[in-house]
Amino acid sequence: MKFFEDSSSQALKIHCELLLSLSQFFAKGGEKLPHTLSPLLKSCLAVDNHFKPDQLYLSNEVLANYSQANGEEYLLMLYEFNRLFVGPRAPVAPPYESVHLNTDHLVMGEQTLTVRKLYRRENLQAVWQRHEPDDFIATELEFAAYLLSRIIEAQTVRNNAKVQLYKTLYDEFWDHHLGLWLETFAQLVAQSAKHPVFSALSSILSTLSKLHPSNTKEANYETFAPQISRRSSCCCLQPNPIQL
Amino acid sequence: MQTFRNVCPRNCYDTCGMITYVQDGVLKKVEGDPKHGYTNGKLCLKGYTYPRRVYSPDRIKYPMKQSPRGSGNWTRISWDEAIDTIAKKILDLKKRYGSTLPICLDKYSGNFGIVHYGVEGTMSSIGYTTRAVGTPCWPAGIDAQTYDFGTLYSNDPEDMVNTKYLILWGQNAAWTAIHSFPFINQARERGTKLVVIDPILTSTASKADLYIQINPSTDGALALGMARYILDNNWVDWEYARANSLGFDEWVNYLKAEITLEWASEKTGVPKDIIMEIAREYATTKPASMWVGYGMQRHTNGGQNVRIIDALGVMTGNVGKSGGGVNYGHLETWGFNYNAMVNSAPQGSKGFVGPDGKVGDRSININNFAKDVSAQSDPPVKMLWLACRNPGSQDPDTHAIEKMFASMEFVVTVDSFFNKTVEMSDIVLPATTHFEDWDVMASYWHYWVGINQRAIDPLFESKSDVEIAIELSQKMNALQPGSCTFPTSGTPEEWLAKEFNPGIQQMLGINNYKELLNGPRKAKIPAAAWSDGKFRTPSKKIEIHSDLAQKNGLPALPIWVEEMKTPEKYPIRFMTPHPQHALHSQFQNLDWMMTANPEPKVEIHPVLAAKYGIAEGAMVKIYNDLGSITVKAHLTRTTSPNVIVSYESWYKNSNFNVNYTLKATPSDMGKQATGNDGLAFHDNFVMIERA
Amino acid sequence: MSKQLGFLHNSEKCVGCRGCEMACKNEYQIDPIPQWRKVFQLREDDFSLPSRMFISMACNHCAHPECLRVCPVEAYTKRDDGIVVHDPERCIGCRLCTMACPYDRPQFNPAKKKVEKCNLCYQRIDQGEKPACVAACIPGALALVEITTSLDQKTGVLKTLPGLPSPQITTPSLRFVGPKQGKQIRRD
Repeated sequence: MKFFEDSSSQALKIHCELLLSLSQFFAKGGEKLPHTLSPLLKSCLAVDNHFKPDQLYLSNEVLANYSQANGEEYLLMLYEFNRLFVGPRAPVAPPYESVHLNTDHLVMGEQTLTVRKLYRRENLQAVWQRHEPDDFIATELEFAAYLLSRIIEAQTVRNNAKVQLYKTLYDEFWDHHLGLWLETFAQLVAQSAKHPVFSALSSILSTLSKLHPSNTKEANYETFAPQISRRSSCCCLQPNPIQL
Repeated sequence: MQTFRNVCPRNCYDTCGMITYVQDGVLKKVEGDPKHGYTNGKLCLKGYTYPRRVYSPDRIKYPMKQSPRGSGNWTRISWDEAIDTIAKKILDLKKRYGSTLPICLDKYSGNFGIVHYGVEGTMSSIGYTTRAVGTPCWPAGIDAQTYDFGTLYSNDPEDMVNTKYLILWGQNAAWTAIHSFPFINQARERGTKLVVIDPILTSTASKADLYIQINPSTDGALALGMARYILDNNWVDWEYARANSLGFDEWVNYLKAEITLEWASEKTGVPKDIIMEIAREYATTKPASMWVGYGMQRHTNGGQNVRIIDALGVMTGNVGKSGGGVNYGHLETWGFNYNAMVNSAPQGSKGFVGPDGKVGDRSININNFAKDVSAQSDPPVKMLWLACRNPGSQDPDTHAIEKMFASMEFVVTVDSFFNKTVEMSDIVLPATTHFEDWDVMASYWHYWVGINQRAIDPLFESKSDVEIAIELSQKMNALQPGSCTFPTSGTPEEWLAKEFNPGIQQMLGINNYKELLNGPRKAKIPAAAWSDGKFRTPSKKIEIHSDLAQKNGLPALPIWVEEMKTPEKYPIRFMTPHPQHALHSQFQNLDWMMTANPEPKVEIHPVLAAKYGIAEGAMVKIYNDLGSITVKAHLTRTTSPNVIVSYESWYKNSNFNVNYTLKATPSDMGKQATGNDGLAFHDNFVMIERA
Repeated sequence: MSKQLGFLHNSEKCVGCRGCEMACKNEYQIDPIPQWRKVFQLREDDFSLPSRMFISMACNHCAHPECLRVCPVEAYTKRDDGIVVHDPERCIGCRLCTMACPYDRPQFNPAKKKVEKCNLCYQRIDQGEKPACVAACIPGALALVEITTSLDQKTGVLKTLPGLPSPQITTPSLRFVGPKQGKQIRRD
């Protein structure tokens, strides 16, 4: 079963948790894997339980195994994380949308500014705007989770128009941004990963990709975005101090 | 779209004015600044690649530490942790050794912006430290001009339009000072003859009316041969020489006694009639100009050769004239406050006691870095700070550098890309590019000064060298009050403002540094160096006979000093001049540049190649007792049968480094003006074989 | 066609600095691999003395462009001023033009999976500006010219140089001033 085929609040919450735990995985960095690996595992288990995607259980086993690892093993994972995503050597899989979608493979590309505008539409901005690319994977994952949380909110108060709006916005964001590069990024990680956790990560990202229907709908935006109250587990987005 | 003024801060004659286009806080493209009278709105191939540098995903983004050093195991750390670790290490070494002398700074020209002297300032503010002193590039020639004229001082390059005869001596402007070409071309359109003297037939040499493929390291002999012929034909400007110099007649006697055209011809490989031709033309065409390149003085007799060429200029009355000069470089427009650099050591700091009894920094030779660092004891060097410098790629004897680094307790490097030096460090700190900094830039060739604005916010967590110093100071004083005197306040723009003084403002005709935001300014000084006849030697005259040189163990006169002999075992000279596509280890690693110039080559004469069975495109092993490299061969007759050429640079994902074969052979001069003798880069001898 | 714009490259002035190549890339922020303008070194052996001589070539906006002829989707058009423009929207990346062009000037962009090439900065020309490469050339070796018989009759203006494909194939709008060689005192 795919996401949105089951648009129950429960399904959406599980979907949202996966996005958030992945976001934290990237946002907190290799140094915080002891904190981020278990929540990722937990959310993957929930996804496996509810949506039963192919092969996810294998990745979950790997995660389960390594989340119990000792300090030394976590160090190996940390070094691998930095080798793949951070530096100081040229990272193998730079986690920024424009590097993958823009043919010039640089950061701060066209896509970076487009997602900045999408965040701003919701009165949000990336916490380190102008210093860090807005299309950092963690930020995009958090934004996707935010959009889902809006759907869940709207469902709770039975505001169908708002539910539809945020479903459309989510589709727009997924189809034109996050969903477009996630699979490429996952493949790159799969090809280069030297540690099983990262091979597992790559499978999880692929799974996330495949669980989305491939629709492309144009967003029909109406002003539905007051100042938000942020969940405490978010860290990449903040209310936009600048009023448009 | 916003525009900003920037200046390329690289170690380059041209130091181009730039206009940067920024939209939504993102740098979109760069252009030359049309208000700059020397670079005239144009950049070079490297300058145009800047956006690829700023936004490269390869860029070092965060402070990171390696555990252990050399393992490739990197952890991201916060700036606070990085600075804390560094500060604690400094204080630990201070405690163990009673001073901060175990800390050694190696900084040079990765960024020549004035505010970047804050790197030196960082060191001064923690106490007395060990400093790599000197310059690898050009010290022999600087000393030569210091002995002769008091300092190096060249004509305004825009003044070259006025010359009627131009000799480029070991200078490849096409690759290293392209913006000079329009001025040279203007002169040529009016009939000026261009003579290029170079062991390698460079792009510049290819433009010459007369190209002379001189025997490497014999330039002084050629100049002496010319001088003798000029003397014999009485084309000497006796009035100028005698009125403005000391020891001229003494030198004339030397010429008469020791120098013949036959000797000069044999030494240099240049036919007698050619020596006569250029001697006559140079002496009788008024005005005539000589541009002495830095490559020319990278020999064991390099400084002495420059002295001889200086004397040639004096004897023909071409010094101090528009359209003339013996032009090498200048530092006239560099009279800033160096506020970021000047900090007093904390009270009670112990330092190195010099021969004059004064306490200060301990200096080591930047040109013998590996060996000198290892040789220090009492106290030994235990920690290195690298900024604006990449010894892992650029220093001679790479194996020695690697060994020395490995023996350090702690290495900190500030840089933008993961190069060899970063690879050998404990902590790397991400550096800003000049687009993310406020600074001011002068040039050692043209006479313009430009402001460099912060056009975009620093990317990721990069910081400028002054911002790093401020953080270190705050941390050190928190750990041990009074341990660092570096000021802990001031925005980057405020730091820039503090570099200006009435002297430099008057020279530029401004009242406030902000006026530079409207365009770079040209120094209001005469176009012809030394036109006022006010030489800066002890005697206030040109010192053809230099007591100072003699005091330093050098010949008093510009006499011939033998070049380094080719060793029997390694009969091939391996010249490693400056590349076209890079400035040392910067630019070549960028994606556009890797497309334009994907791999290094070694240029080999077909005759030499045939001797060793090397075909075009074959891999060649180049080796001597120091080390070896393997490079792809390109057969060309633009070099000579016993000279091979490969351009020093750092390619992405490659261990290519000419310095594996390069000994730290000193050139003859440099100590007087720059603290240490230079390097005879082009006196490198090797053997080759098919790989 | 009311006129034919083209390039005049002067190898006497050109020092092969490659500023034109990079200025073009900078103007359009081109992807890493395609080189719309490229500097080529002329073969030493084609001249009486060896030296470093260069030509710089972008698209030659030929009078009889092969690219235009072979393109199955009409992605190429020739303007009234002779500029051959490539439309990336129509391009399907079949690469027939890259095979047909004798000068190898259309560049296949593997990331975009389409061809791209020099369009003689027609956007700049329409605003009265020079092409980016011409504006960037420091020694003044590159010029924008109108290909006319009077240009061809000027002394020193050549239609081709050794090593280049015959101009008879596509009639390129490219003229040269050949390299000049001075006197050389050599050690070989």
